[in-house]
Amino acid sequence: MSILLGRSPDRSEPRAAPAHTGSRTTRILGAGVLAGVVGLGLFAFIFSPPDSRPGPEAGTRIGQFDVVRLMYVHVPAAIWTYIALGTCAAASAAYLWRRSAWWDRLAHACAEIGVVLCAVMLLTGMIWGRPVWGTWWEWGDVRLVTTLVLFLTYAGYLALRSVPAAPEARASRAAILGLGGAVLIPIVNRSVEWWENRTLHQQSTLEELRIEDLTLFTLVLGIFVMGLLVLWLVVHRFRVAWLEAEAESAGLQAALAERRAEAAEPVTAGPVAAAEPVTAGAADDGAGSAGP
Amino acid sequence: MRDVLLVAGKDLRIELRSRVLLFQVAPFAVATLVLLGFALDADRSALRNFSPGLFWVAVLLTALLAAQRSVAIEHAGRAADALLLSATSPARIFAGKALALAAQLAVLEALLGVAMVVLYDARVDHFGLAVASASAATVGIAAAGTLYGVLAAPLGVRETLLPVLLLPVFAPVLIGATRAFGDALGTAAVNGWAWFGLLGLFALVYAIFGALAYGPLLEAET
Amino acid sequence: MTHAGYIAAGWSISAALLVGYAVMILLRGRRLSGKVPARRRRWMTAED
Repeated sequence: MSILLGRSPDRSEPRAAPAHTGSRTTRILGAGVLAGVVGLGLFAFIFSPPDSRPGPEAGTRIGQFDVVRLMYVHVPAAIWTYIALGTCAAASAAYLWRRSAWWDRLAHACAEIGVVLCAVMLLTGMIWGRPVWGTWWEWGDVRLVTTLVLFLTYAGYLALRSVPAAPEARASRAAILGLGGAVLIPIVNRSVEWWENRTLHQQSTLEELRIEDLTLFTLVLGIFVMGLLVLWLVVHRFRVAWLEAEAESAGLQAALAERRAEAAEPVTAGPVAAAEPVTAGAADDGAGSAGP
Repeated sequence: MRDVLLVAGKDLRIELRSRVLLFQVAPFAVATLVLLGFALDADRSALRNFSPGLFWVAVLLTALLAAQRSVAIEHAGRAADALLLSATSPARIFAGKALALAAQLAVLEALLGVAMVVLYDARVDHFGLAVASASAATVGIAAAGTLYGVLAAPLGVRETLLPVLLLPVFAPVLIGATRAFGDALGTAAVNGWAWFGLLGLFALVYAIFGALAYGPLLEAET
Repeated sequence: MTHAGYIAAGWSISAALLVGYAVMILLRGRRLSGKVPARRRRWMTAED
């Protein structure tokens, strides 16, 4: 929890808080991602060999050749899509159980990042399929079609989340939808598998490719770097969700304080006094952050 | 069970009185079939070969309208609040609404089935398989439609949001029902009863999921 | 290198999507930060 939100506020008063979602944790993560991307680029394009092996006839070579270099993006994106959307479903279930905004925001962050990664996976898969399978899209491939339905399902989830609504109601609806997607996917997978009982997809990329040690290492490196990136994105996205909720309630507090001020009654101690520091803080901060 | 029938009866009575199903949804369904016929260039053998798929596409598009309608009558006049106050359990409300939707879909499917035989020259070889798989698919569609319908109901963008949410959910139904009908109509050499099993599984999963999820959703609405 | 066009297209589309998304998140965070009092931005309080 503290990774996502930082330490609890009562430990020390903020020194001039910078107006962004970064912290030391995310800066370390971000530096790791940048270094990892450079390393991955070196291994993916320079150190790792193209996929090729002797063909059935003497003197010929078969394999994916250099197009295998797309796998170093495609496979990590695929793995982290499933992890992110799986986390979204799990966090949805946890929200329905515990009803805490923390789980709701985690589900939202994971779904959004999962959908972006899913788009990356589908696009790189199609670009890879064109030279290797000879087609951009192959309806007979189970994983491809299932993944497209998965993408559409969670795009719908984000569509629902984008509709303005009361926070609690929106969280409940989104949680049910997030769980529903997880319920749906095994059925889709089964049905597509039966639908066309042939599959082009490599049973596992790791098996059919004649994996060189360096190829395998580059794949694992890609998965690791993508994992760091996903973690970095989740932390930032979670904080944005937190800020959104805070901004919403700060706006509400300000509106309430205005209403109370409008009522000509002399100000009584109690709720008004409690509300005032918040609005005062918001005004101060707004002025302060506009400067730099 | 009595509560379920009461809720279902209420929805069906509203439908009978308003005649939206008869005058709006049914013509829409038949018009869809006609347009699909135009799309395939009125090629008789192509139409017959693709009739299972065309039929189910028409059913699913029609189901979208019917699901919209099912939540619209609940949302107008805040009937959902009254249902909640009546102390009927959410699972029973869900079952009743899904049952009413399934009954309406069954009527529409019968109409579309006749239209399919007339317009596409389809022949039903295995009537039992066709009825069984259509029933399973209908229950699944009704359960998913009722659940996702109430999910999108209170939002201003219901008309555009509901199709986005529902169509991916309908993907396995379309695949399964098309294959089962392919066997029943003799256009595909597949084991239709296996597909009936898949449709039954979908219906069961979404009926249970919907019954469990309906409570939190209704609470969120009020 | 074989299939250089496909490889370049695949990597650059992925990079564009991921970097674009990351930048969008950071900008949204900066814009929203101005609207929220500093004391409620908890990740700022202790470490910086």
